[in-house]
Amino acid sequence: MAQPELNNDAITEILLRFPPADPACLIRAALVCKPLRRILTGSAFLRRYREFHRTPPLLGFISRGWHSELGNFTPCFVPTATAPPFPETPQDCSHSSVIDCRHGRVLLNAFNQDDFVVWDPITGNQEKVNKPSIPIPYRDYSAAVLCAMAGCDHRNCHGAPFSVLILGLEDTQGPVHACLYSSETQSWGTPAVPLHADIDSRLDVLCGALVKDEFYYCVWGNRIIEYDLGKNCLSTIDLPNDLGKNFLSLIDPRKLNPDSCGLCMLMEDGSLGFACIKDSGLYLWSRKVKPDGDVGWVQCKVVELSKLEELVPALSKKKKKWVTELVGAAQGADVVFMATSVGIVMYDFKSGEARKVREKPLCLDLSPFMFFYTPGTVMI
Amino acid sequence: MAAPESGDGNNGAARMVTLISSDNTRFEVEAAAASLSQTLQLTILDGGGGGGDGIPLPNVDSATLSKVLEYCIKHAPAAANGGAPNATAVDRAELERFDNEFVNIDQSVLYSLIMAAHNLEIEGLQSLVAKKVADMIKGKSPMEIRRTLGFPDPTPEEQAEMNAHMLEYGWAYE
Repeated sequence: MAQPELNNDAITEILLRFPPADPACLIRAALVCKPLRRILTGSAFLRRYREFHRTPPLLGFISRGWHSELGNFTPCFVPTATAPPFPETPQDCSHSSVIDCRHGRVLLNAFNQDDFVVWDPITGNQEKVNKPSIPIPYRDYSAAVLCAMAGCDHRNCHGAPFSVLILGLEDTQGPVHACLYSSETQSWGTPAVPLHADIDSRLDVLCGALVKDEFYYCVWGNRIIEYDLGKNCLSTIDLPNDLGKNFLSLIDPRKLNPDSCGLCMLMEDGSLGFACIKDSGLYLWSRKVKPDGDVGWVQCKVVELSKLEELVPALSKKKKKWVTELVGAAQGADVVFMATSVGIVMYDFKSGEARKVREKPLCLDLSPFMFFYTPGTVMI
Repeated sequence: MAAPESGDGNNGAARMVTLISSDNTRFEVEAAAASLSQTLQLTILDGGGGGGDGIPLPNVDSATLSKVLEYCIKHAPAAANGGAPNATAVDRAELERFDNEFVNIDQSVLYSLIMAAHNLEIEGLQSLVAKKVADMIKGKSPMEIRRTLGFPDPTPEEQAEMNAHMLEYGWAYE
């Protein structure tokens, strides 16, 4: 029997199902012949492909590492998939730390300078952003870079206007300051009214989560700070009750137990997630409307870390204590990164798969890079 | 016979329609199953396919149509429940098992199915087969993909172009 011919519609349906997390597959298909290349690089296909897969796939993360040529620690890309060659960090940013990576852009903090740098690895664009005139202590602040285009689905937002959000904790008792930068006006907006909350903690350069128009940061496992981008106002929400007072004492900053901090993440279903490590368990909660109509935390996953093979060496090295810290989350993908004594381990809550993605980490600034790398994409 | 819980009030017997393949084989099937096809659903809602008339399907041969209907009959109860939000885990697991076995077939049958699913607008079937073919070819080299998708072998010029591209995108072959 002769093989039936496939038309372009059928071929398109097949190509749509190539996994975005393994961009090499679509690239190889694009090399087959001109007709396939035409389909794959057409804007109609690319739009459908992004809509079909919704969340840009995790290609790797950007973290500081030793650069032998430059002779210093510089932000570099660490792939977690078969990823395309990634451009080098701009030379004058080689001393920077990585603060955030979101919507295709990287936010770098240049040491000894008063600027942030927003870098788009895909287009090569970089833009300096002066730090605002609100109290930002040397360490106790966090910042994020966000796409600022109205109605954007954040699946391919390059060249669009962006914002930079900065949150600073004046001292361990608060108050919390927040300010938003706009690339369109190239200036910082009016700072939000400072939030006097009994925080009794410190802010760390940890990843935060954007959920609709609100941005969330966990303050060293104590409270979650909520910043409303539309209203420019700050508030707090409590951590899941199930964590109990025991957890709060565990993460008392004066005891500073690195085993148990938490971070906020955007869940695949669009809700706010909170992940933390307590004792030897990795916990995940999601903020949902409960049957009684109240909004609250619902515990969705508990993972016994001692059962993850990749973590067993870490456990045996430090028998008494877990030296495991959550250092990042892939937004909208239900994936977290843990720094352990044996390296960076990535954990996927959906598949339950744990994988070591880097040998012993030197720096803990880690920002996952998520992007639809499709045929026709050129990284400069 | 047990009284029907729903249906069209046709004395409890499910309404049947007749489909006629391109090679003139007649298939009698429940309207609910045939209605998984968006194209057939419209005809059936208009009252077509009943009695001795039958709905001719000039683009689908009998071997393919029989396979398509096997899928539709299996999936019809879940589809009738509005995508089966109330389905039990057992039901879902059974459908998943069926789907996995269903696509465990020759490539040429898969291609006939994806074309039929596209023509008849059976979304679930199209998605199932497209996913299977994608899984079959995603790890292959450009030349293997070319042959699997049925493109003719490259001319020397095309081959040279492919080789050049492969050098440029070496990372995609590691």
